[in-house]
Parts: sequence; structure tokens; C-alpha cells
Amino acid sequence: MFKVLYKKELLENIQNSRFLLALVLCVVVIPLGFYVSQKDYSDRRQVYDEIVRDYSEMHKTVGDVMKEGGAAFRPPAALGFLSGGVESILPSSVETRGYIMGGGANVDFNNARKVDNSFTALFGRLDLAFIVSTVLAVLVMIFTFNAVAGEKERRTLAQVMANPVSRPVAITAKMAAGTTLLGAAFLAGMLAGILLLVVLGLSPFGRPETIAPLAVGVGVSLLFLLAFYNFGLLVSSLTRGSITAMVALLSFWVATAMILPKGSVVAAKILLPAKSQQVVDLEKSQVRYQISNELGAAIVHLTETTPGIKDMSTDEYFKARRAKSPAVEAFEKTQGEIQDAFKAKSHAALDRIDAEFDQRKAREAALARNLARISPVSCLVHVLTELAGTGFMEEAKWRETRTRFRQILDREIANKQHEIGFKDTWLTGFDKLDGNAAAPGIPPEPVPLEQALGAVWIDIVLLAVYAVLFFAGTYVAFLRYDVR
Amino acid sequence: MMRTLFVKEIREALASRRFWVILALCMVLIPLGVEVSLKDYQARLQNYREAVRLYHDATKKVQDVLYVSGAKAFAPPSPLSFISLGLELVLPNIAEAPAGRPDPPVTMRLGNNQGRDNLYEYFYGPLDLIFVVAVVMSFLAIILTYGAIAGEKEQGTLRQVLSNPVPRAKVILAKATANGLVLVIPFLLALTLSLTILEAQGSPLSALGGAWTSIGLAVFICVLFIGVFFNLGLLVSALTKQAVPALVALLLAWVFLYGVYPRLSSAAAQILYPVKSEARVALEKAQIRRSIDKERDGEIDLMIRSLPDPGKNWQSLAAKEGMKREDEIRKRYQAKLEESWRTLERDIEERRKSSNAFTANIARISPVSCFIRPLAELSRTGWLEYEKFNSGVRQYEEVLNREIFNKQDIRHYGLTGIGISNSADPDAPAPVFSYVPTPEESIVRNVLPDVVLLLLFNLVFFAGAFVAFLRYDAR
Repeated sequence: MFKVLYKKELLENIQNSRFLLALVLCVVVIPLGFYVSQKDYSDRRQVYDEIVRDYSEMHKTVGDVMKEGGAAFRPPAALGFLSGGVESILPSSVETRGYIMGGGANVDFNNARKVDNSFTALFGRLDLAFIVSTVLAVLVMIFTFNAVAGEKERRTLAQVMANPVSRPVAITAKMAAGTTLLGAAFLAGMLAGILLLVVLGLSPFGRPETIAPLAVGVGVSLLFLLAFYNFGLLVSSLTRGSITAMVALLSFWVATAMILPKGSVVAAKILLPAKSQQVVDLEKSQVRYQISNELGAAIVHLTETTPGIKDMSTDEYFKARRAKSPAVEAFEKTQGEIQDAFKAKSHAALDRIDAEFDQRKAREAALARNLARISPVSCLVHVLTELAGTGFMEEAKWRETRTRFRQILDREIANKQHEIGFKDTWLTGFDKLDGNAAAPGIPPEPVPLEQALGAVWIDIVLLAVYAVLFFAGTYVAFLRYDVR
Repeated sequence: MMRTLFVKEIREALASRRFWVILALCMVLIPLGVEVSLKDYQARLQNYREAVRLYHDATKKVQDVLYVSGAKAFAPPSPLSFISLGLELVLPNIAEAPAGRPDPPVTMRLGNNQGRDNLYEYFYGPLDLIFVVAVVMSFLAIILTYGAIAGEKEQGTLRQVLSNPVPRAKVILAKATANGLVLVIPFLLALTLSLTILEAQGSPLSALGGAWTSIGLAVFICVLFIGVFFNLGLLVSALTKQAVPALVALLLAWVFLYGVYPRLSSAAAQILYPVKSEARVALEKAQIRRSIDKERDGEIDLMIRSLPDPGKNWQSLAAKEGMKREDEIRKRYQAKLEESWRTLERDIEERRKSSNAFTANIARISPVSCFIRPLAELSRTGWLEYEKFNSGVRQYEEVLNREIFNKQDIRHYGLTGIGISNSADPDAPAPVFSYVPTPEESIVRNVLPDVVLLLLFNLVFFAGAFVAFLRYDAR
């Protein structure tokens, strides 16, 4: 019985040209989206490679990094066609300016691609996340709005129900046939897109790390289609007219795909406000400046109170230093201890500001994200964005990279210098620093798949729950349908 | 006759609760969006003020620019961002020159870290007026019109109407005006309410000297845009025999015009008319600087070798002659570097400008593009605002280079030592960047073609609907 009904539904959808429409749209829009995204990626990748090459040629040794400043560059995301996410506001590199001194390296984010593609920033990207959540969502609505309500209107449902057909089988067959066709159209579009990229030599699949995320992305997109299809069937089962069903579906889609996620950000911002990065950066530079002034004062105080040192002129001091005078050595040891204490104080204060800011931002983000998860569309977009490496994990990764890079530069360069202050003269000692050693750096590491999945498993589970819940609702509504 | 038909259509719309649904939606979404955007703007404004205050507290004198905080220029957030947040989170709102005696000429680096602050807002998109109109109002226009003609054909009521001595032109005109009013009046009511609330809360618009021309023009563009989808709905409804196919066709048209075409057009323009990316320009500038520096150092080296070795006596005649000649060489190469950078920047700016015009023109095939871009410009969150800020920064940069950074002397004292000094008066007040907003006339001039196109779309779609309706075979 299921087989007969399933076949009937398949044929009906194929005959009324909805399947053809879905197929044509998928086969045209998905490859187009893939092509433009990958073309953009390959151009950016080329510039990235050149920049990295140029950087490594100019920064071969510790001395080069110390003088010119160091950088770690973020490669563009190879799977950006899955979802552009927040890539255009992610830093293109973390870098420090030249002359890294004993006080420590000052590593900043740099984003050099902000004024590129202003129109894309205004109109949005044609990535898979958009195609599935908008183009395919509209197709799902077109497939489902009259699937049950239309049959009620035309009275064909009453005729079917007059036969010895089990209702669960009838509704399951409807669901299975519709999702099979939509899934087939989507997969055909994906296949066409991938083939196009391979033919044009723009394929990112030469890198083995791209295959698994793509496969997961396709699976999650299919899960989303199933959930949304079941929702369409639910609305269609609950309404008596197909137009009412369509209007209800459209309203739901606008509300969940667009208004809800935006509202979640607003709610999070109102409930958990946070300072801006700009203000935090300026606060940090003030702290840095203040502590360095305090250090200067402490050293002046030490110089003026140390017997045997306080009366020396600068020339006498350096003469005594060359003669390895015990008084000077003791003075420099104490000064070194003071400097270390201030360095630790400065790091602690800066880290505290950063940690507090990060914590507030993380709480705000978690609230926005969790509220947005009420919408299946947000769940889909979260997953695709993290899989593409253009999302929040990547952003967190680069914040961590900045800290790590600073630590490396401090360890390899700043901490190997010691500065000695005497009256108005500062002397920098490089005796521990090997200027010819290989330049310190951080090779880019993409967020591993397991880690990305660790952040979005809940979205995948939720999508599955939505699919089941919506189908259960449809099932009940269909069983309770009064044929009279 | 026209009046009777008009009253009938209005009554029908009011009776079918469509008007009330639209009114309720507008009354909830538009004030909510404006309120939320305003709160967001106030948060950004507070952060901007705090950043400017912190910077000015730390940077009062030239020596602070040189040794403490560098030079910074800030662009304030736009109070009109409730209309369109546009590119506010993406385009630069801060320009920085580093402290610590950078090599002249110094180029201020443009940046924007609001994106990081508003990561999720960027991700999900803002709830500004442009969103409400582009998505919600356009859908409402479709829902209101798909059945306006096709529905009556299906139900057979159109046949009855036309069997009376009623001119067809009047029927469709009455339909269009009545339904149009049903759509536009709630929108305007909600907007007026929002603006009244905005004023009551102490309007932030005073920062733009009122900017009522911009707001008025933006509202006019919104109405035109709603009109485009409304007339498109009438056209499709007049061309189809049943309501369901009309709705499906309109939905697909919406997907194409809103979702697919504008996105494709910007990408296609980039492929057809590529512009070097910022990252590449920065790379090329660094490469130019290196090659000119290398050439310069080679020439200085040759010059020094040609003079008798002054030893460590920097006061000797030979050393003085060397320093003088070195100074000349450095100045010459600095001018060469500045000229090469300027040429590169000029080329890139020109190309970017024409590429933007090209993209805008390609995108204009969709009314959605004719709506999104001008509204961003009118809200001061578009490309013109960036250009204005950028040119202000470049002028500030010239002042900084002239008054501070170019006064740096790096002397190699032959082959024996290096001396870096800056002859700018350390206690002189630091030059201050003053933000100048984009003049309203230039924005209005820039968006006029889009307004004309939107009018044209309205005309063409309505004319199409009119003709299709006149040609309808009632049998």
C-alpha cells in the first residue's frame, strides 16, 4: 500500500512540474553560487599565498621579526561556498609592529579586506546556507502548501480516505515522496556544482580536509529540508485552504528565518550589554602606559635611593658597569626584579581586561545563539558556517592565535632582552637574543572537524528533533482530520 | 463609477481582515525595528564617544602622537542607521597611524572593529527599516495582490463585474489605488509613529542637522519599492487564470529579485571588472617601498664610499658633506616613493569607483538593488560615507606627515652609526581630525537614478497589468 501511494505522490509531483522547477532551480542556482564563491576564494587565496611568500622572504630571522614586526596570516576559507558566515569581518592576520622591545610584543588584529566587495556586503552572498535556507525553503513551501490542504479543497482526500487506506501510510507516503524529490533535486544541484568546480579547476576538494565537512554539510542540509518539509505538511494538514496554508507558511518562514535570529541578537544585547573592542583596546593602552610610567618612577626611585649608585654620573655608571662593579651588578639585579614584577603586573592587568571582555562577549553570544536556535533556519546556518570555517569557532581560534603569537614573540624576543635604566638613559641588552635564529611564527591551523561539530552538534540534534516533532504534529493532525 | 468601485475594493479589503493584519504587522515590526536600531545606535555612539575621549585624553601634544598613542581618526556611527545599517559594521570607522616614530610618509591604516563587537548582528543581519520593507512589506504586497485579479477570475466574480457597463480601465485603477492604499497607509502610519517616538526620546537626528530631506526621500523610495512589488503582483495576477499559480510565480519572482539576482550581480561584476583587493594593494605598496629603499640605500652607500672616510669624527668636513648629500638623496627618494604610492592609489581609487558604478548598474536590473543601495547611502552607511571619511583621513594624514612624521631625520652618519630624531616641537598641540559628514546634495544626486528606475519599474509593471487586464477574455 505504501509503495502504491508513494509512487502516486511521486508521479503527481513530477507531472505537475514542481519537481522540474525544483530541479532547474537547484541545477542553475547551486552551481552559480559555487562558482562565484570559489572564484572569489581562489583570487583571495592567490593574494594570501603571495603575502605569505613575501612575508617569509622578508622575515627569515628573529632579528627581522624584531625589527620589522611579525605576523601570522589567516588563509581564506576553502569551503566558504558552504557559508560566507562572518569571514569578511574576521581578521586577515594578527600582527605586531616593528621594534619588539623588552616590554613585550603588542599583537593586533588586522583586517585588510573590508573595502573589497562592498556590494557583496550590502546584498549578501549566494552561498549554500542562503540557497538552502531561502531558495530551497521557498521550493519546500511550493511543494507542501497544498499537499494536504489542496486535496481537502478539491475533495480528493475524502475520496482517498473512502478507500481502505491507512491514514498513517498515506501521510508517510506523502512525506517520503516529496522529500525524495526535493532531496534528489538538491543532490543533483550539488553534484552539478561540484562538477563545475572540478571542470573549471576551482575545486577545493584536492585538500582531504574539505571532503568530510562537505559531506556533513550536505547531510545537514537534507535534514533541514526534511524538517521544513514536515513543517509545511503540518501547516497544510491544519488548514482547510491552500492559500491560507501558503500565507501561514510564508509568515512562519519570515518569522523564523529572519525576524527571530535578528531579535535574538537584540535581546542578548539588551540583557547582557558589553563594551566595544575599541574602548577595550584604548583602556588597555592606557593601562600599558600607566604601568610603564610607574615602572619609570620606580626605577628613578631605586636609582636615587641606592647608596653608591645615586651619586654616579652616567659616564661613571657605565664605566663601573664595564668594570663589573658589584654595586652596579646588585643594582641591576634589583632593577631586573622590579621590571619583572611590573611586566607581570602589566600582563595580569591586560589579561584581566581581555578575559572580562571575552567572558561578557561569550555570554552575550551564547544567549543570542541559543535564542536563535528556536528557528530551524538558524540551526542550519550555524552548522554550515562552522563547517565552512567562517564562523564563531574560527573567530575564537584567531583570538587564541593572537594570544599564542604574543606569547611566542615574548618568549623568543621580548624576554630575551633586558633593559637597564639609569637616570635618563636606557640600555637594551641583547646578549641572550640570537638575532640569526629562525624567525618565530605560527602556521595556520584550521578548526578541526571534531571541534566544529562539538560546537554545533546541538543544532544538528535540534534539526532532527524539529523534523520528528513536525512530522508527529502532521501525523496527529492528519489522523484527526474530519472528512465530512 | 470609479468611486463606487474604489469604495467596494476598500470595503472588501477591510472586511477580509487583510488591512488589519498588515496594520498590526507594520505597527509591531516598524516601531520595534526603529527602537531596537536606535538602542543599538546609542550603544555604538557611546562607545564612539568613549573611544574619542580616551584617545584625546592620552594625546594632547605632538610627543604623545610620536611616542604614546600614535594618531587616530574616528568616524561617528550614523544616527540614520535605523533606516539601513548598510555597511556600517564593515567599512572603516577608524584610521590609525602608529606611535614609535614610523618611517615617513606614514599611511594611516583604516579599520573597523565594530564587526567584532557585533559579530552576531552581522551574522543574522540587523532589524532595520530596509529589512522590514525589503522582506515583510514586499511579501505583504504579494499576498495582497496575487488574488486581486486571478482570484476574481477563478471565483467568476470578475465576469459578473465586467458584464455590467463598467470601463475596464476604471476597474483596474480602482483595484490598484484601493489595495495600494491598504498597503501603504499602515506602513506610513507605523513609520510616523516610530519617528514620533524617536523625536519624543530626544531625537539623535540633530547630529545630522535634521536630515529630514534624507528621511523624506528614504520614505519615498520605500513607498516606490512597495509599489514595485504591488504592481508586479497585479501584473502576474492579471496574466494568470488562477490564484495559486499567481502566488507561486510571485514567490519565485521574489526569490530571484531579492535573493538571487543582487547577490549574483555583485559577484559577476567582480569577475567581469576585477579590482585589486586591499590586501594586494598593501602588498604592492610594501614591495614598492622596499625596492625604492634598496635603491636609495645603494646610492647612499656609493656616495659615502666616494667620500674620504671621516672615521668617528662626525664634525669633519667630509662627514658634513656626506650628511648633506645623504639628506638630498633621502628627500629625492621620499618624493619618488610618495609619487609611486599616490599613482597606485589614484589608479586603484579610479578603478574601484568605475567598478562600483558598473556593479551598481548591473545590479539595478533588480528593483531590490535600486532600493537597498540608495537607502544605505541616504542613511550615511554606504559607500559615499566611506569615500568621505577616507578623503578626510587622507587630508589628516597629509597634515600629520607635514607637521610631524616628515620631520623625522634618520642619519646614517656614514658607515659608523645611526641617529633618529624628530625636529617637530614636542609640546605643540597634536593635530586633531575633524569629521565632516557627507553633504546631503551629493547623496541625493547619487541616488536619483535609482529613484527614476523605481518609478519606471512601477510604471512598466502597472502598464503591463493594465494591458493584460484590458485584454482579458471574460469567456
